[in-house]
Amino acid sequence: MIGYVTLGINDLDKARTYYDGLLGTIGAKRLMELDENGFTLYGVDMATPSIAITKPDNGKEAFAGNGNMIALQMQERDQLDALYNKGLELGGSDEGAPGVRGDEGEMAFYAAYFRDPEGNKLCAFRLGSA
Amino acid sequence: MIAYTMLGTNDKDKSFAFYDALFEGTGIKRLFKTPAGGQFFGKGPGQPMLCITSPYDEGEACFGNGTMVALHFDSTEEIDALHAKALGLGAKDEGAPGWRAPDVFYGAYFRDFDGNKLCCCKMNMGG
Repeated sequence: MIGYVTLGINDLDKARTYYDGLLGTIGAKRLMELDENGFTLYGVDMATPSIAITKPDNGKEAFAGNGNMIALQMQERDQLDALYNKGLELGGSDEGAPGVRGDEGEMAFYAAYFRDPEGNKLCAFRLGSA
Repeated sequence: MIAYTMLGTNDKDKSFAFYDALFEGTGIKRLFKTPAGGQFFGKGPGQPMLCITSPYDEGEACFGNGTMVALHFDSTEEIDALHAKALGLGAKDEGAPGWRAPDVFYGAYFRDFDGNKLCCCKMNMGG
């Protein structure tokens, strides 16, 4: 259903460095780089829904939406912690440390929230017991 | 990699009605709601979902500039129909259906009532 989601950025070099480091921790890499708007697509392969960073097509300043968020599914809690820590280490801002939201157990929602340096909100989560 | 993506709205009922009508006949349907009343739309288990929600901070929702959700479809005819339907429902046109990259990328663009930009596309990229 979702082919890809784009996030608006103003500083292309900085954002590429950020997402290279962040998404590299979960095995995603640059799949495409276009001259137009600096569109840079990250993913594990072309068949999997991917994330692109881009300058806005309208040529105006990029800004983050309120209510917008991309949620990434993790395989293990350790992997989630590592992604969150990397997200902050690279210059992101905290929006909620890793932990179980709701009850622990078979359907536990273990999640962490952060923003990239331009304010785009991301979530990493894992369903299941520890 | 992506499990779901959220878009903010200031009028959930109006927005849900828009997406209900837009997705009718595509196999995308309402799935479940968040505790805060956000609505997930999707095709079912294992497929990335779209959630329309009011912002977590309870402030005003705002689209992101540069932010866009691209929905993948298998046929250009379906994309043409969805773009026309979206505009008929009151969406703002951001680009008529057409091949942006010949034989590689077919897309159509519009914004919902909250200004969130969507693309309906078909990609032939060996995926």
